[in-house]
Amino acid sequence: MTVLEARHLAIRIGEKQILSELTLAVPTGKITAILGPNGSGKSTLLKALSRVLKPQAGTVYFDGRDLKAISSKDLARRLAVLPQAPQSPPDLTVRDLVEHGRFPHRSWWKGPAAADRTIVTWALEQTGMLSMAERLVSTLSGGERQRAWIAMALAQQPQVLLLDEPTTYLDICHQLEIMQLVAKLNQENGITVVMVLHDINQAAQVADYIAVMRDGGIFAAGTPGQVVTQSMLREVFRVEADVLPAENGKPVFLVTGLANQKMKTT
Amino acid sequence: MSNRHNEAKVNFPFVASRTAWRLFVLAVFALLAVAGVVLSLVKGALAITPEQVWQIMLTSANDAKGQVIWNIRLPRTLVGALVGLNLALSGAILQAVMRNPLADPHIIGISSGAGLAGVAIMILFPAMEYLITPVAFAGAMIAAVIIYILAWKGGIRPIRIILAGVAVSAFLGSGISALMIFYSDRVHGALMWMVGGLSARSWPHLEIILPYSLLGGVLALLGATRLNVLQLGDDMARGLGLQVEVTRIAMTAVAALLAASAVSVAGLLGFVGLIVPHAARLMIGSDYRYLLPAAALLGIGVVTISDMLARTVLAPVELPVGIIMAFVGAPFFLYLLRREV
Repeated sequence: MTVLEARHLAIRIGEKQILSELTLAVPTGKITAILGPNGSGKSTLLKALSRVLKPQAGTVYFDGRDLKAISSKDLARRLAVLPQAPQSPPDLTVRDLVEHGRFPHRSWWKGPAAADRTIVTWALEQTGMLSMAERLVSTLSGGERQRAWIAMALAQQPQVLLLDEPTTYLDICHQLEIMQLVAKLNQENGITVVMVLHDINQAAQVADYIAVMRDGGIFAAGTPGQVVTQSMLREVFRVEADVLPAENGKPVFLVTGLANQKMKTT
Repeated sequence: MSNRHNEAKVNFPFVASRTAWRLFVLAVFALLAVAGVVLSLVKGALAITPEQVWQIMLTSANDAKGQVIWNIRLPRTLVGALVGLNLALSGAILQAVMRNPLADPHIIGISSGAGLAGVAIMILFPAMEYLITPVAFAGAMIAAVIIYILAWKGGIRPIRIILAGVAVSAFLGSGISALMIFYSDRVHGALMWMVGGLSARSWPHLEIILPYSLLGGVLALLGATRLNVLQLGDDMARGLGLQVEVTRIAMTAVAALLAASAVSVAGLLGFVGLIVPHAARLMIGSDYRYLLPAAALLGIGVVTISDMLARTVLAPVELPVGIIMAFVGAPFFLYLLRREV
């Protein structure tokens, strides 16, 4: 079962080829993590999957339908996406922000209905932001802000949630909090999650499925145990590492040094 | 969670909730707009009391005072009100569409386009002064379209519009300067128009601007939610299902029509399109469902009151309203800015 699928994607931005011949099937109802070194095209892939960027070649399918054939609002009711470090006006409250999540569900001539308010409250509850609903987003800490944005995405009532590095810039406790929230949304609400992560160990802990990118393509995809291996770390991330099985059966690795190969000069 | 998170509650003077505060601000701005209109009708070379104005309006009396009200003050006041409304709405829309606090009707070429067209008529064909309004309108729209075409590159990015706007405005501005230097003996009228003013504006001007005010005002309010979503950034807005390019083009067109109709009847009033939306935003916040009506009301108030001052401060000499607005408004805006930050 796959809800979101990319086939032979190619994306060029200006003269630079970012993605080429990329094929990936996102399993329904699971948490998928996208890993890869800087500049491997992770964020671009996420934008292509959410149609924020249009590919020059190849197709993205949502539930078997070509993404191009789905209207913008229809897609936004099924798929929510949070870019890296999104911005908001300084006087926006958390509740205002979450109400924006109802935008794709509203007709342009109607204001928010009672049902919208119920869903907004539900989204605030799910993310633990109800007590902070009247606070300004600009006064929140990084972790709270991330949860507020996730609440907005949740108010879209999506089947699929795409997150671009949701834990970057957060301290370890807030990182864990966000990861637990994502896992809860996945398990309790059946939302398929696709997220770009930087921390490979974190991805191995939380994700059911991991896709590793290199140079604009998928290097490997599979369960954490299949993907997080010494050879992958050497070839993709150019580090030597000891991969240890964790107590819960998911792999953990320790970097022992740079891989013995010529470094790219950048 | 640390304690500081519980402190930062937003407080509003006088009222308990944010909605109440917003309604309060709207009421104050509405009062200001009404006061501006009334003052503009009452004050002038000929003293007419509010009661007399009221009588004249009810009875359409045809004595000297009735003539002044019906033929001079009322149309002029209404034109001024609509000019203020249009420019304020236009600026507020552009600030959201361009995602830039310095965006105003100048940026999309309205002023320079109207300026060159209007000055050309006044200097080269002074006999055809009746053409100034339509030609200035055409000039404004042509300049806006040219900037749009120049900025287009597989889509519209605000920064490209702003840069193209600066370049085209400088180019057209050089044309204005050249005309004024080559024909320095005919510059006076052109200068007055460049500063912007409402003297001798009457019913025909009202007929020109009114349809745009109505259409533009309605379209702007219908777009308010979209402008709100646009403020979350292009990627986020796309993710929420907003057709970013379409919205940006449509709302820019609305802003262009609003501003072009205003400058074509009142000349190049600066200030209103840039400062009034900011002042309204500082008071009421950046939710466009409230900000747009607030900016419109404040625009009406600012222009009518400024025009009243322009007519009376140095009477019998009449100042261009643009000078008054900048002179009184800029310090007030700086005060708001200081208080906020």
